[in-house]
Amino acid sequence: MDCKLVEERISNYIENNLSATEMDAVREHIQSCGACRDLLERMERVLYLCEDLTEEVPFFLKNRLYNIAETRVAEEPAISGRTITVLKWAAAMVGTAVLLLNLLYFTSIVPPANRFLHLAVSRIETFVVEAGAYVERISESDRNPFLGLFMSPDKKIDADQPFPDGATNEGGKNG
Amino acid sequence: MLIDRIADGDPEAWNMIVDKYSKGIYSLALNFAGNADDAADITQDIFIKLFSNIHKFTLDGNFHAWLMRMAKNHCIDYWRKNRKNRNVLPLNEDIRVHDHDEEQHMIDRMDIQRLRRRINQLDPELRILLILRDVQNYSYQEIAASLDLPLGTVKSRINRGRIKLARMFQQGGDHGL
Repeated sequence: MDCKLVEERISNYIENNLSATEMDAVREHIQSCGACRDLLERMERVLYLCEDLTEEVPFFLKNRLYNIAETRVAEEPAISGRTITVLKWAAAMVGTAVLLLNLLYFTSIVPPANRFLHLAVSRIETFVVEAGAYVERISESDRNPFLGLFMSPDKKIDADQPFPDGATNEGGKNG
Repeated sequence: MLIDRIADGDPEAWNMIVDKYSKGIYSLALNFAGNADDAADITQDIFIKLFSNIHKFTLDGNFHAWLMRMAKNHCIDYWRKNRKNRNVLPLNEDIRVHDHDEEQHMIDRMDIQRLRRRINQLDPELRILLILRDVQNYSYQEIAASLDLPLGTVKSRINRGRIKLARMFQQGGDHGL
């Protein structure tokens, strides 16, 4: 048996995990080879010392570990992880839908969808214009609805008389 | 079930887990990092990770193996982040030694210090395997199951790690390390 084979078996030799024949062959080689004998002695010393490498957990660390449960529970967010995941997915889906609608609106990849979207947008535009006109009509009927909200009815400004209390345009200038 | 109780926020159940596993994790961290301060930080981080992920543990799995994998991955992450500014500080003075005479105590004490430094110079994968086998006395089968490695790979790597460590380690020598 040569040094390489002994090296491959040295852990099993120390732990007595070889067959009797192999144990004898390794032992025989080690007795005649200084390098392998030195390696074996060092390895046995290392394994002996390794048994003393365990240490007790320091008191302060043990306390920190006990406190993890309380600290982490207190820090847990009001929204659970599952809710956050659902919200993230919802945001991703909305974003994707918006992108898809843009694609369909500005390109003619799917002509019926493109026509439908343009029709829908024109209907929305019409609705917005009509709603705007309606609001304008209401404001015109009451001229200045905002002032009317804060003034008593007898002091409401007469829309046909821009200068109340008998003042004239010229008088106002002179006064 | 203990795990369910922890997930439900039962502090007693959590304390039982800390009592059972903290020594093994601390020992792994201490011998991996080579100094007590980093070992405390690593141990704490592993337990925080454990607490945050305990709901992910499947009851049909092996809890110890799951925790060991988490600890091993965390140690290697730590090594990757800190390899540029590794700092092997002097270790605690109260290292236990075998019961020999005083002179032998001194030699053992010095050799233990030197051995820790040498372990710290090993490749992190080998380091973890050696700590689990030779410091914490896990069987090859337990290590293979915990780290999800073939048994033959575990045996050959541990043998390789021991040879490397034995060659680096010179009894009473290698000053300045």
